[in-house]
Amino acid sequence: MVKDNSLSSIILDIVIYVFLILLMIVILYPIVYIFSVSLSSSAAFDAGEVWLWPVQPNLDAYKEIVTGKTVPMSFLQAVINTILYTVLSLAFTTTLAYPLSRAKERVPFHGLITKLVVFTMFFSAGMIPVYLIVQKMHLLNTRWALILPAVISTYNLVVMRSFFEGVPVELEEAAFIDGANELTIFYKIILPLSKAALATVGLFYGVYMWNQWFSAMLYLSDRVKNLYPLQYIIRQIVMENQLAAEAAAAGELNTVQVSTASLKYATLFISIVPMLCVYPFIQKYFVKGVMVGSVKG
Amino acid sequence: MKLKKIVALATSAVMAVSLLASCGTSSTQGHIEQDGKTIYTYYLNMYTQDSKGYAEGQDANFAQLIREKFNVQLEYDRIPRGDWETKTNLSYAVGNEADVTTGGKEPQYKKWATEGYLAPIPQEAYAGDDCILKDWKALWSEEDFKDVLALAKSSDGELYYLPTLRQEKAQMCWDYRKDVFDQLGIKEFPKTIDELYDVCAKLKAAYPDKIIISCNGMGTTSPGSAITGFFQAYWIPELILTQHSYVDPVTGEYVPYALTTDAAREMYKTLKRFNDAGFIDKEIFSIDKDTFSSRLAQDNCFITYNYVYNIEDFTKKTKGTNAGKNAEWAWTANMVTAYPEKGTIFKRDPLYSNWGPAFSDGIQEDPDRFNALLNMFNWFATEEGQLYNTYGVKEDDPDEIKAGVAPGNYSYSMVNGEPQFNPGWYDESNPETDKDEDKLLTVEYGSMGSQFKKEQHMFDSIRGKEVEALYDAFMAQPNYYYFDQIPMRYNEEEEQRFADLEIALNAKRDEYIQRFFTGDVDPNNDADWNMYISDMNKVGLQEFIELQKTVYERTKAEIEKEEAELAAAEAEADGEAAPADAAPAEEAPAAE
Repeated sequence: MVKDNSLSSIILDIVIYVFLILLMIVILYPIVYIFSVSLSSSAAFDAGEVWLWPVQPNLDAYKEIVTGKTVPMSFLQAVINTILYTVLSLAFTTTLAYPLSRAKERVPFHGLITKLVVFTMFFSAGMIPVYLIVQKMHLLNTRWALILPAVISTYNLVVMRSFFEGVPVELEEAAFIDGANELTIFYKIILPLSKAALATVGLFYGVYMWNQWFSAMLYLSDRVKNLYPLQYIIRQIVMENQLAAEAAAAGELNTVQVSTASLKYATLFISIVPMLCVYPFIQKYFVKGVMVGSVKG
Repeated sequence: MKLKKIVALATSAVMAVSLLASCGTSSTQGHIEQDGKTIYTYYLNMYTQDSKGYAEGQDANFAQLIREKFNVQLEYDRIPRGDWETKTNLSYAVGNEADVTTGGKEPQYKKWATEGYLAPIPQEAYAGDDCILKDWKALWSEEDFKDVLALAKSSDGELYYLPTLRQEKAQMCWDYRKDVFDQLGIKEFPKTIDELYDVCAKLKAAYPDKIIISCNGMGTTSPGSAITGFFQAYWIPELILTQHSYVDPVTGEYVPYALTTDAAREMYKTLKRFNDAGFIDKEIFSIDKDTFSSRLAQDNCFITYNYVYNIEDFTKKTKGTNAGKNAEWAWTANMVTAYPEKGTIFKRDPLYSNWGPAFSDGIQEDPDRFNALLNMFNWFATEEGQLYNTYGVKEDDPDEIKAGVAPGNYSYSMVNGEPQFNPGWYDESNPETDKDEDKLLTVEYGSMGSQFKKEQHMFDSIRGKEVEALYDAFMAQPNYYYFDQIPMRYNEEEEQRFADLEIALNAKRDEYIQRFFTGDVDPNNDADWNMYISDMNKVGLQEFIELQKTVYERTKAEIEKEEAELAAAEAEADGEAAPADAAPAEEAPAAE
């Protein structure tokens, strides 16, 4: 590769570097700020002294979180839900996407199934019918109420199908000749070749479940509050100020307890750590995966 | 082709079935026989304040108490406060609503009542001196109770929930940095808008880089909630953002949609003048409680329209980590007015808090079951009930009250005739106690607390004294007036139209509040003001005004009729003849 040392090229490089550095700051600063506030004293935060580094650093907020029951338990629940959901979703998504990616002649009702799948991308039954189904299936107040109704995302299914379509059918034909059946081909040939797509779609599923609070609100009650996932707890913490104002406006004497800024930010920081840890390991697959289906032919 | 048609039909059928499936029916629970007694069972939906939990099971003290005393057994659905509305709406939609809920606000209850989800409370339950709800009713004076009923009833003239007593008579006032006022030789908090401007100018001259007036919006959704102190200076009620119209306390004139009147225009002009001079926080419409605390800590606010009892907290926050810092917040009973010759307006709090228990429609199928529950809520209003809900159990309480409480686990004692929490118990009024460390009534006994904690001694210990002092100070001022709430009963069709118009008008109103403030649109300019009025008309202002006028006139007539009927019912219940003239004369709500 020939290096272009012209002035215009150097200026362009500088502009690109400056832009990328600014972009990095824009992305990193909120994370650093959240971390700094979580380690600073509330008085320093109120006084506006925290803008980059922790001021009057202490670990009180993290100690409070660790010694309290709610956040560690909800963190554990979020981890369990995310792992379980990602594994199940990948299993269901790949086993449906693979047949749909193959010739119509090989799969009975191929066209009908495809149409029904696509139908759900544009129309949904809505919150109340889904709630009723969850209720009739006796899933209310169980972990499965969070997982099963959303176990297949049509968008992710289409991404997986597009990827599988790119795997040469000749590989399967060769395997058939060697005596492999459909399942063997799927597990031993198709899936190992689809790591990039699996990593990408798995990440989409994982992030979805990690950030999920709405279904917890709908389907879980106080009786099973140990099942509350972390994001639901965070939502309650974020709403405390509003709720305290509401309680005061209602003339209630026992006010809503409002967390300190450092506790709020520490909880927020804890919630983003797992995703920060996961990203670097699947980044290499992610770049390949997001290109899935973008170029055909 | 044929196959496609079949598929389309099948899909439509599935969708229709799934929609029909949402139309469930109400589940009703009944009663059980226990030790020869009928115990009525109910499913209760309530919101929780925090994650501390409740003593569960039928052996908990509260469960035993209500079973022994009222033949009531409750099964709970406890919902975090912020989710209560969504989850309860959902429960009504899917038909598995609770028999009774204690988390709602009046507008929600009125909406559900219109939709047929709630049971009306029979008039005989609150008419007469010997009715089931006699102690609840006695929380107010006879005259005030009439006003409570007039306001809380729905459009069909029925009461669908039990409002709770509001102990605060007045709590909003101007708070200011007394130490800074003293330092600049400002002797008194201003009483007129012009005086306020002069004081702000003095403060700005001394502290040119600082914000003079700031406020957080009290957790409500309209940006206007941060400037309600200015509303009142122009004789516009503090609650105008939700009520829209008012009755002038001096002239008795009904003023529909106050925020498009000439007085509102003058108020917007003043806001702009103050903002142009750099007196008001540029972010006043958006700052939250945390940011406001930062303003205090950074000496970036000297005047705020806020709660009277926040003074100590403001001083503490202003001092921050520097205990030796000279900072002192004070409240004043001087309200600012733009019309000193006419008088001054202050906010008198409503007679009742519009939260309270409501009952699902199915409960009226068994009157005895309904009455058992009403009986329990009535007990909450008795002195014994309020002591229990607020302070818990003491050693010499009757057995039925201390049922299930282990000896040594009593929460309070009477000291010099006044209730006092025992050591180790959390006391809202005592900053030495710790909610995370000390015992809580809800956790130990399973009592409901929250909106039912209305014991006067506790209220006085927390904020009652400041509130009373403020109210007395307002009332002692000459020509101080307050607005009475006006009852408005919309029928189903009107309510729907009101809701649609209100959403559009609120959005336009809030947009212009901010534009007037920033100067993007100038209220001094006739063309700009006419543009505002024209835009409001486009989203239905005139129709809204007509609707409100119609409902106001009709409700007024209905209430006069109802009051006469109630008086007759009470007289009948008391065995007397009905008075000839039951409707009371209206009084101007002046402080003089």
